[in-house]
Amino acid sequence: MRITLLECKRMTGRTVLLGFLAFVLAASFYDCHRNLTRYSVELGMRWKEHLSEARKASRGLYLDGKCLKDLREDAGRYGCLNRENIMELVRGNCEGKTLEELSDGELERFFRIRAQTIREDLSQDAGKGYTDEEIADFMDRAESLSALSMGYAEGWKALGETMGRFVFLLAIVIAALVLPLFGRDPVVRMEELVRSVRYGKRRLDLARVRAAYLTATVLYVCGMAVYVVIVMGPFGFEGADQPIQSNIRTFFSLCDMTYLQQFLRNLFMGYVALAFLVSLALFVTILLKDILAGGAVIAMFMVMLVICNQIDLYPVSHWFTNFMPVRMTDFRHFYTGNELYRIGGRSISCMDWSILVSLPLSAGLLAAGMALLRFDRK
Amino acid sequence: MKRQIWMEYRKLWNRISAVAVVFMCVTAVLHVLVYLNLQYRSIDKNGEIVSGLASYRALREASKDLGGVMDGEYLRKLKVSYDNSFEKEYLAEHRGFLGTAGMTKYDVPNYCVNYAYFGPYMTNGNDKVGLDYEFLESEESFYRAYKEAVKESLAEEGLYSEGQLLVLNEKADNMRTPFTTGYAQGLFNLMTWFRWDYSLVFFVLVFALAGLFSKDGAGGVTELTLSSKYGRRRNLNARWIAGNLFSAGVYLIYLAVQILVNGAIGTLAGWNLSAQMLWCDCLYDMTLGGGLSILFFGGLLGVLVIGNLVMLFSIKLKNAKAAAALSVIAVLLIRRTGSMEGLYGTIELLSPMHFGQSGLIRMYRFVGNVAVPYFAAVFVVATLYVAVLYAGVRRSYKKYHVN
Repeated sequence: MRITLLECKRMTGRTVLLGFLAFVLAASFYDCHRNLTRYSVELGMRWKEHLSEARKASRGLYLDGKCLKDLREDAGRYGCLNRENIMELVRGNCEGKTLEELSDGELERFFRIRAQTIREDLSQDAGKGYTDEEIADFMDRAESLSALSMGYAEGWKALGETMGRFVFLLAIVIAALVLPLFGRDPVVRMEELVRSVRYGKRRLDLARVRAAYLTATVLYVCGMAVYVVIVMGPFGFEGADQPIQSNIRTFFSLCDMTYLQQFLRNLFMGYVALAFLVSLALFVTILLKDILAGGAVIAMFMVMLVICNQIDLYPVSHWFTNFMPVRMTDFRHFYTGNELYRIGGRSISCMDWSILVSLPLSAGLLAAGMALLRFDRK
Repeated sequence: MKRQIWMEYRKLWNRISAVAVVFMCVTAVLHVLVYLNLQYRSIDKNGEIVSGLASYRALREASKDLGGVMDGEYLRKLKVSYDNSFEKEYLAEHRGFLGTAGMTKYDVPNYCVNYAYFGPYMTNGNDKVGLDYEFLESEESFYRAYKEAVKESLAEEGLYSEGQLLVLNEKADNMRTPFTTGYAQGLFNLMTWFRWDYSLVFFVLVFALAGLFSKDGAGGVTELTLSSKYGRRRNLNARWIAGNLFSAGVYLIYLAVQILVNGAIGTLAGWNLSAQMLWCDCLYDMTLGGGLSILFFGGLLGVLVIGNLVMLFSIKLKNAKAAAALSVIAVLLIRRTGSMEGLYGTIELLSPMHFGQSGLIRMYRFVGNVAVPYFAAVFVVATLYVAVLYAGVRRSYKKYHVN
C-alpha cells in the first residue's frame, strides 16, 4: 500500500493538482456562466426574481388539461418561469403551436398527443427494427403518463444541460495524468534503477495499477463534487424528486426516473467511461513505454470517436461507439434514443448494455497490459 | 545548412511521430471504408439497387451516358431521359432515398439544374431533383436563371454590401457557360472526408513537434549543441525548416491516404468537370480538380500554421510534455472553430480549420471595390501567421539558456 500511495503522490504533484483544480474551476464556472446567460436571455433582466417566484409558485403544480386551461386564461398564474417551461413543453409536443392556438380538446389530450408522437417516432426508426412486443412495452410506458409534476428543479436541469461535456473532459484530463505511471520520460532516466530494487517488479506494477484507479476515482469524485456545487449553486438543489419529463430535453423520454436518479446514472456512466480511458492509457503506455507516444495514440483515438459521434451512423454507434467514452458521456441519447440490444432473446436498454460491454472491455485492456508487463519481466 | 536541416528532419521521424502517423492513416482509412460501405447505395444501369462500396463503381458505369457539356441539346436530352427513367419512378415511390445517402446517375446534372430554381435554398433530396422547369427550353434561359440564382445566393450570404454585390453580380453575369457535367462522386467523397479528418494532422504535429526545442535534462546534449559553431542561429533555422518540412510531409501523407482510398472506392473521375458541379455559387472559371487543388493547398497552409504554433510552444516551455499539453488545448479550441461561421467571414479567414474548406472557392474579401479571392486572402493571413510565429520562436531562441 505504501508503494501505491507513493505512486499516487508521483502522479499528483503540487503543480499537477493545482492545474487540475484550475481546470475543474474554470470548466465549472464557464458552464455556470453559460447556464446563467441562457436564463437571463430567456427571462430577461429580472431572472433572479423569476427563479425565486417559481420556487413558490411551482409547489404542488401538476401539468394536466386543467393546468393548461388555467394558464391560457391567466398567463401570470404560475409565474414567469413556470409559464416559460410549460410553453416550451407545449411547443415541443404540439408541432410548435402556442397554448392560445390549441383547442380545449387538444389541451385535454395533451399527454395522448405525446404518446402519439412517441409512437410515430418509433415507427419511423425502421433501422432499429423494433418488435411488436417492444413497441407495446414502449407505448405502455408512454401512455402511463397522464399528469406531470412540474416542481421547481432548475438546478438539476442546468446540471443536465452541461454535465456530459464536463465529464468527458474530466475523464480525458485524468487519463492524461495516468500516462507517466508506465510511460517513460526521456529526460528522467531512472527506470532501470527503479526496476532493479527489491519491490521494483511485480509489486511495483500492481501498485502502479492500483494507484491509477485510486487516483482516478478520487479525482473524479472531487471534480464532480466541485462541479455540481458550482453549477447548481445559483439555482438551488431543490427538485431532486421531480420526473425528468418536466425538462423539454427529456420530455419524450420513456424512462421513469427522477432528476436525482438521472444524475446518479450519469455519474456512474461517466465513471465507467473514465475506467475505460484509464485502462486504455495504462495499456498504451505499457505497450509503447513512452508518455508522448501514448498521449498521441489516445488523442487520435478520441478524435476518431468525436468524428464518429458527429457523423452518427446507426450501425457504427450501435456496434462500436455506444461502448466508447465519447458517446457514453453524451448522456441524452440514453434517455430519448430508445435504443435496444437483443441479447439471448431479451431486450436490453442501451444504457445497461453499454455498461455491461464497456466494463469487460476495460478489464480486457487491463489484463492485456498486465500480460505485457509479465512478458517484459521475463 | 542542408545537411543540418536533413539531420534535424531525420530526428523528427522518431517513435512518437511514427506511432502518431500510423494511427492517423489507420483512422482515416477506417473512417472512409466503414462509412462509405455502411451508408451509401446507388441505382445501377440495370435499375438494380447496389449497396456498399460497390455502389460507386455501379454509379460510375451508369453515369457514362450522362457526361458532357450542358448545352441546349444536352438539357433537352437530359429532360427526356429523366422523364422516362426508372430512377424518376423509383424516387417517386421512395421519398427519402436521396436524403439518406442514396445516389442516382442524375444527381449531378439535376442538382445543377435545380439550383437555378431553388438558389440559396437548394439542398439535396428527392423533391429537388425534378426537371419540370420552363427555363430548360433553351440554354440561354437556363443559364440566365442559374446566374440569377447565384446572385440571390450571394445576397443571402449577408457578407457583402450593396456596392460589393454589384461587383460580384457582374462576375456572375460573366460566368463561363455552358458547364461540363458527369460522374464525380469519388471526388465529392474525397472533399468530404478530407475535411472531416483534417484535424488528425494537427494532433500528429502536436505530439511530434512538441519536443523539437525541449531541453534534454542532464544529458548534456543541449549544452553541447548551444556551444557548438552552428548551434544557435543556424541550428534554430535548421530546426524550424525541418519542423515545417515535417508538417508538410505529414500533411502530404494524409492527403495521399485520402486520395488513394477515395480513388480506389469511387475513382478520381470528374477532375475536368466544372467547379459549379460541387460549388454551385462558385464564380470562377475553373475545373473541379482545380478547385480541389486550391482546397488542398489551403489545407497545407493551415497545417503549417499549426506546426509553427506547436514549435512556438515548444521553445517557450522547453518541456515536451507541457508543450504537448498546451498544444492539445490550443488545437481543441481551434478545432471547435471548424463548425463556426459568421462575423462577416472573419472566422473563416482567421481559423486554420477553415483553410481547407469550400469558403476558399465560394467567397471573396474586398479591398475597396476590388474583390480579392478568398484563397488569396487566406494565403496572406497564413503567411502573416507563420511570420509572427517564427519571430516568436527566434526571439525565444536568442535567449535560450541552459539554466
